[in-house]
Amino acid sequence: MWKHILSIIILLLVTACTDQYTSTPTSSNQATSTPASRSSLVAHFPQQINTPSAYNEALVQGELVLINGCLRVNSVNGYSILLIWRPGFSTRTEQGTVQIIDGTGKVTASVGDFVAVGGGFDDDPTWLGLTESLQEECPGPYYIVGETIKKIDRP
Amino acid sequence: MYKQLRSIKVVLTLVLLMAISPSGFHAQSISASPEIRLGEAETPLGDAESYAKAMGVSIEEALYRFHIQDVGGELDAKLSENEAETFAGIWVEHTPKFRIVVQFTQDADQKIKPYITEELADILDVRTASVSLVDLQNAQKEIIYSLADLKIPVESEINIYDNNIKLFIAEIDRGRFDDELQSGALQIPDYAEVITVPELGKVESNIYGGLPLSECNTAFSVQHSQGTRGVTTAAHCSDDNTLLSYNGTILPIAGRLKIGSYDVEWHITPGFTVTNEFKAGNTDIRRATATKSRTDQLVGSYVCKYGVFSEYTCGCISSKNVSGNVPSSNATFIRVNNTCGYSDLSLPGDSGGPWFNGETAYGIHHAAAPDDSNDAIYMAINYVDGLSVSVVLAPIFADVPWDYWAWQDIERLYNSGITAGCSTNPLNYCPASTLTRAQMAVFLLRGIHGAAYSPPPVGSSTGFNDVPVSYWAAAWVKQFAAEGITSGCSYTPPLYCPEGITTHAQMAVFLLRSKYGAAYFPPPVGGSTGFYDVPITHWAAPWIKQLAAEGISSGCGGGYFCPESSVTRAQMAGLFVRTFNLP
Repeated sequence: MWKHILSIIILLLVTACTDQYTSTPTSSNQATSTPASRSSLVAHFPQQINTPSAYNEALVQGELVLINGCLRVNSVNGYSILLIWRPGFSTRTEQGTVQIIDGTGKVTASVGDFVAVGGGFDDDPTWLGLTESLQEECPGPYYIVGETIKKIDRP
Repeated sequence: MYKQLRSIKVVLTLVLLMAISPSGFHAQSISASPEIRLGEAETPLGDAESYAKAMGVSIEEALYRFHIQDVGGELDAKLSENEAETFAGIWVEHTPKFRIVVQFTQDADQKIKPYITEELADILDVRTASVSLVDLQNAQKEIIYSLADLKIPVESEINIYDNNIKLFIAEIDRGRFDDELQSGALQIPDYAEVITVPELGKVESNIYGGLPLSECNTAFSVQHSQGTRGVTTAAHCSDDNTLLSYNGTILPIAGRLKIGSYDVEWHITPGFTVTNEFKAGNTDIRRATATKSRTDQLVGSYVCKYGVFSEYTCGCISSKNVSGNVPSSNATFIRVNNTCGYSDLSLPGDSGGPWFNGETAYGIHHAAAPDDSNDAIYMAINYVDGLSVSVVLAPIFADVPWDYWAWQDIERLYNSGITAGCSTNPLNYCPASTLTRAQMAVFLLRGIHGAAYSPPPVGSSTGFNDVPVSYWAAAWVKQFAAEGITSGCSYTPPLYCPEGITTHAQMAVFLLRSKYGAAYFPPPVGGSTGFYDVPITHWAAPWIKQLAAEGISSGCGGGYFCPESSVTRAQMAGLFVRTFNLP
């Protein structure tokens, strides 16, 4: 009996000490204006306020990196691309690694992963309506994350 | 035991394949398993059927053999890595007996032992060869480098069956190759076999729709109103800071529109020949022959697309008034739903690809729908006109296909209104026909005065005894002479020889006079014309030299001009385009 109580207490303590965000699953079809929770390591997390009317289907592949507190993809084509997220995505830190959480609460990728990101480029994504302004330390090219971001094998 | 396992595997595979084959296809069951797509599933069973028929075996046996091929492939990778010093290749033989053959340079039986599995045990044939695969590869590399230094083009391959290297040398280079070999400048091992071929394979240099770009696909080939050709894709496939490339070649952007009804950009394609083809499937290349504008696209219509990732899939148009993912969207995008036989109409990487039905272009892939990512959204093809481009359709002339050496010049001539061809049904240009002097008069007067030019009425005489006023080009011939560009082919009697040929020497004079006026005379010829067959005493020597100096003609090849040979209509097209700088 005491063992069980002790286990629960330890579990609660561990949970409280992590920088973990327990996301409330948000339907990808649902608009949201609430800024997403994020890892303390992620200083900027530009995100569309409204759910887009369509998900562009270009494909960028490369390493997900954190530069100046911004999530970027160092693409296989030689570009360092700033990601603009759609509603529902959030981040958290787990054992020192920044993880990307999708609208269902699932970890889709982590910093350091090789990822494939559907979406599309935009010279000036401010027309989309963003949760935060674009920062000088996080320059373009800008890429609006579309339907998916997922971890893939390195080529 | 293995046989039993094998049978179970085969039966399971068959059941799976049948379940997802077209006759047993149910959209619901497929969409429940997004990893299985119809396009992928169709292939193995079809291929197994075809293999079974060709080899006279059952489909079960065919599927088993396909499995063994995969196992052999894995073994190839392992042996290449672990036994590089002695491994000399592995392959599968289908007849007279199905087996896997593997070669080593020494201790073959010992080397293969650790890799023999139960399923390979009875079908492995182990042999000894002289040269290891690695040695063959290294020698091949050295030969290629040596020949590159000597500027001798070569194609080569390693033939593991013969355990040698095959070098293919073009006939034209074989003499030099042998000379270098004899002089010792080139050394090749005795396991290299030299094969002379008429010419080396040509590098594929066409570009068209449905090809993979760095982040997207090309949609359709387009031509700008000023004549430049290129390819289209979606505007969100690049931005001002990124460049798109095809096969490693950067395609410079020529225009982009991402607003309202538009999500399109087009790129010029340096080094590539733009054709009207588009990829409709992995092996299905079609030629665009028509376009269908948004207003003519019917809700419910069956339309198909090709994308590098979801490949060939089709659906039915469910709306023509969809908001695109563009600023100030006009809601003119077209949505296709996945209820017409294919589950997945859009995957990341498909953007920019072509939407079509048959050979008619419908649109450019824009996005996946937000409420059902298996549904697709495209921009209707008519919106490419926002970039002042139009889709490149079938070749203009039936007798001037895309691969005809002068098709670009001939089509430029047509697009500029200089020629309407030599027949209308079918529309032909007759490129190989000799250019008559009458035709030349028409061409050149249009070059001088513009495509819309018409000469004055011929009146009661053309001034030439062999050109009656009823002759089809009478007015043109008369005007050509009136402008001082020619005085005909004879003074007494006055003749024009309208059906006579035009030689290259004559053409040099006509072209330069047409360009600079009747009073023009080229600079003195000097010590040489630059052509072996045009001495400085030739009557047209200064004209020919000047024509070459202006880059209008480089002669007939090998340092010759062929001054007395006749000019064809195809040659005329090139000369004309360069003389008058047609776009």
